[in-house]
Amino acid sequence: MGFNMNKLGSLVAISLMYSWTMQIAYSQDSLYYTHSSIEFVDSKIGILDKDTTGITKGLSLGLPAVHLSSAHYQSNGPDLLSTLLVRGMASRHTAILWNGWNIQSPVNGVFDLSLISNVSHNAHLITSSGTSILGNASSAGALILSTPSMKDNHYLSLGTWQNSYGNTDLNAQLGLHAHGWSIQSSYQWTHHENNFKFDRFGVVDQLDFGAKNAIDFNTEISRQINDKQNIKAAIWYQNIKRQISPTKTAVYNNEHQDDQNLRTHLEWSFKDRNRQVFTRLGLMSEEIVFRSNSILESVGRADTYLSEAVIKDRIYGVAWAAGVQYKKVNAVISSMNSDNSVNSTESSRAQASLWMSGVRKLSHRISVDLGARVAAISDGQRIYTYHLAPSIILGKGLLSYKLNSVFQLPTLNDLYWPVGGNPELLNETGIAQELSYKSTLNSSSQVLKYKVALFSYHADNWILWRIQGFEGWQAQNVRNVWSRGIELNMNYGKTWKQDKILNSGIQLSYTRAETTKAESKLYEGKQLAYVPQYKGVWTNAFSYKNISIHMESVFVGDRFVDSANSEFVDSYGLTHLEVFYKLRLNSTELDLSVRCDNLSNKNYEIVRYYPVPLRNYTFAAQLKI
Amino acid sequence: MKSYYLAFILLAVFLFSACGDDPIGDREDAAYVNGFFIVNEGPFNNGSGSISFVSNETEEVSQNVFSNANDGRVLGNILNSMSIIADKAYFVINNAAKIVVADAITLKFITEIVGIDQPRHMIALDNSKAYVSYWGADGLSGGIGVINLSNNELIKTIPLGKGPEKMIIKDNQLIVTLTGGYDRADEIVYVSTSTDEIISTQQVYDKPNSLSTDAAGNIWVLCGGFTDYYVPENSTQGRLVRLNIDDTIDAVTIPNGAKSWSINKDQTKAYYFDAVGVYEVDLSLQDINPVLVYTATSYYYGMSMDADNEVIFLTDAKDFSSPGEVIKISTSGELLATYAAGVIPSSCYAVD
Repeated sequence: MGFNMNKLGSLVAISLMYSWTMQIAYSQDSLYYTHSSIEFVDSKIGILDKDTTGITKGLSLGLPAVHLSSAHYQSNGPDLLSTLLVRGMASRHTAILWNGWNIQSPVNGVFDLSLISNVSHNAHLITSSGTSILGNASSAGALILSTPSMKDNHYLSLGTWQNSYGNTDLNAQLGLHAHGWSIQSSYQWTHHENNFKFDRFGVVDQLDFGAKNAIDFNTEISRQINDKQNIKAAIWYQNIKRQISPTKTAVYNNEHQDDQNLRTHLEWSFKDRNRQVFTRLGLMSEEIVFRSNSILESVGRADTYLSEAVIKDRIYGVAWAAGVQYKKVNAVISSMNSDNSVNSTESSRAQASLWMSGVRKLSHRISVDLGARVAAISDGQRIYTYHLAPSIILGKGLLSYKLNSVFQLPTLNDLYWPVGGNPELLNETGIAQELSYKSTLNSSSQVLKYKVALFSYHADNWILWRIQGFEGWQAQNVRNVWSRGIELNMNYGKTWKQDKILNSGIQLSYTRAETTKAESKLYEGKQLAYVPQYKGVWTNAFSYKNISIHMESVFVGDRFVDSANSEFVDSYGLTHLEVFYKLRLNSTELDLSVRCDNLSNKNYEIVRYYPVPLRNYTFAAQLKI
Repeated sequence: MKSYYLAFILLAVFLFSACGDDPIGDREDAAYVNGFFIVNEGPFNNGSGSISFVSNETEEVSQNVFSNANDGRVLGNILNSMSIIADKAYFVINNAAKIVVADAITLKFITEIVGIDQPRHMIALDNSKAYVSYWGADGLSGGIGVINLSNNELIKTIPLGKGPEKMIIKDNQLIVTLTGGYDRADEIVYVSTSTDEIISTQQVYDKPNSLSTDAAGNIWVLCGGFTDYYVPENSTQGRLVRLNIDDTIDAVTIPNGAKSWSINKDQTKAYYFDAVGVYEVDLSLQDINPVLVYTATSYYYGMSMDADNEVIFLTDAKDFSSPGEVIKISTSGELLATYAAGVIPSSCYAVD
């Protein structure tokens, strides 16, 4: 590998010196940074976990996100582009973290959640800005992917998933542990027909909306060198071929998209009582190919090389964390002319960055979190960001305020796409704030948790692709956007003895994502397209012995379909029901589940005229040996 | 804690029982006469086209008139053009691969004509037969569809080539421009209206997009020129071509991007537009000499002419995702009125 420990030590030392000179070294136990996740102080809400959402293996990882009020799940339909709009922001503002790396595409700024299932990954969402730690493309926080926790024993798990519109998944998972070595591997094969019923303007129709065939291979190998040191290697390979289906109003969207992603990760870590150090290397390779019928239209390829060193320590009773990161992207974008000639654009961007963050307890009730980051971009830019987050224990709860300066670099497509790319684009910059109060009320068998949050995000030079007449789409800095709102989250849990559990949750949000300044008065004061002002979620889970029942109800308000707010798609309310049964025989477990989506057979649209299934059923079985 | 739970459940039930559909009110049938329709393509990618109507008497604009007349039914993705033949209106919907047939007065839905990939424009030979230009699913294998108007069914297709667009009928011949579709082309094609077979092709210049005859029997073809968005230096200039009745050809060079050749009632003057404005051509002169009569104040997307009333409509698609506008000017370039339109207005169609 040519890994130079002396050089690494120098980098860390430089990082620390830089951070100390900025005088931001405060710390608190609640701040921590691990190989797979980062948590900002008490900002985690909306956990996509088994308690409040379905756990049927094989479902798209994006599906549970439907049940978060702070994020709008923007999906063109099953197996089509699906992203998260967090607190009125665009999908490009939310980092997608895998082993700590942001795997959002540097080419188009998108991570398509429809491409991954929950077989090999869990996820949870952090809605607070992470720019001063994570850097670019995290203004609206991060969706953190993690490997499902494994037991310290060998296991083999085989599963199948089938739904009523012709979609089938098969998965296998293997866990082995011996002599300090540990391996966890999952493999998934997907064949989706997407032949479902939908409502076409009052008439129930059934069409084949395009197949998806995919394989997904994910493996982690780790070795415990001694009680303090650990090494880990991870690889994630995906190959997805899918048809981009037509809408209700069109028949010519017969495009095919082939995605191929290879992600690798190598990590060494050291951990003792007070100190944790880790270094890691990553390589992300992605390829997206578009075909219209059988004609090749465009190919995008990008290789991203990453390296990072992080240290966290405790000095004089305070803890802090700091990191240094280097990232380089090489991309080639090719589009085909009708005469088979090719227009190719090569682009490259490198970033070196230093960050430091810490929390200091000023008293037993008050603490302050400070952090800063500087990033040097290969085009000569130096970008400084910071965060300030004081919190105070008030009554039985915690009152927190967070202030983050944020930025967003244009993607390589924004800058260099052969037609419409705009090399003159400016960075998006802004300020994100959050004021929240959360508390927990307990009794011996019951718990009530709640959190109220006010949020605000101001952005200058909002980057947007707009149609420019015959010249087609073009990337522009056209907007000043102010997204603000309020969220309420409550969760109630009750346990009767050990085998009867009730968990019920409500999430409500109001989001006003407004264009405050634009080149045309037509857009000023208008809500951003497809951001719902109102969203509500009600989840209920009841378990008794080996059976559990989950019910999820979602309300999504009207969404405007254009920047001028001239037209909108109607609000909708959906209910999903899922029943699980677990059968145990010695060490063997069999999980069975039946899920009904869209229980009331509601006709609705997430994106205008894109068909979504009416009532449908999913059956899943998972055998663990 | 019981009170917490009770309050919790009550709040949830209240919040989630408040969601309902808006009632749809009753609507009366309207009569769409003495005015003009605005053909709105609708949003690209996933939208639906729509029809607006402007009354000549009241100057009032009614939006979404087809949907309003048909209980919310939508036309489909990218409404390319409309034609009225006898008592029926034909809406040619490109990306939905169909032609929606409706009553010409009330716009009540009648039927759909399917089986034509990427239809563009429709022209009637008489009250029993019409022709539809189409690009084909790949945008390269275009042709002409022959429609039986008595039952609104496709009789046959005539493969022509890349991007059949506007058509005229002259001397038992259907004359079709080939714009190139998703590629480039520079021809017009002559088809027999008796046999519905190709008679001949004639090369003109890049991207012939519209045409007409004049009072003397000459054929005029407006060629917009090829536009290469990737390599702009490969783009070509436009040409205004006159195919004289003595089989000679005259042509003048004009800037790239000219389109929408439209002729007045007595076929003595014609108009077209480009990014600069609207030009008038006196067809009676030997020299071809376009004269700018109206300087564009916006980026216009389409132009149509109401020959009976001697007025010209220019459509402004604005940002191509919000509702656009239509302006009405006189043939001398005087701005007469401005009307609100739907999303991406592309043409207008006047009715008595």
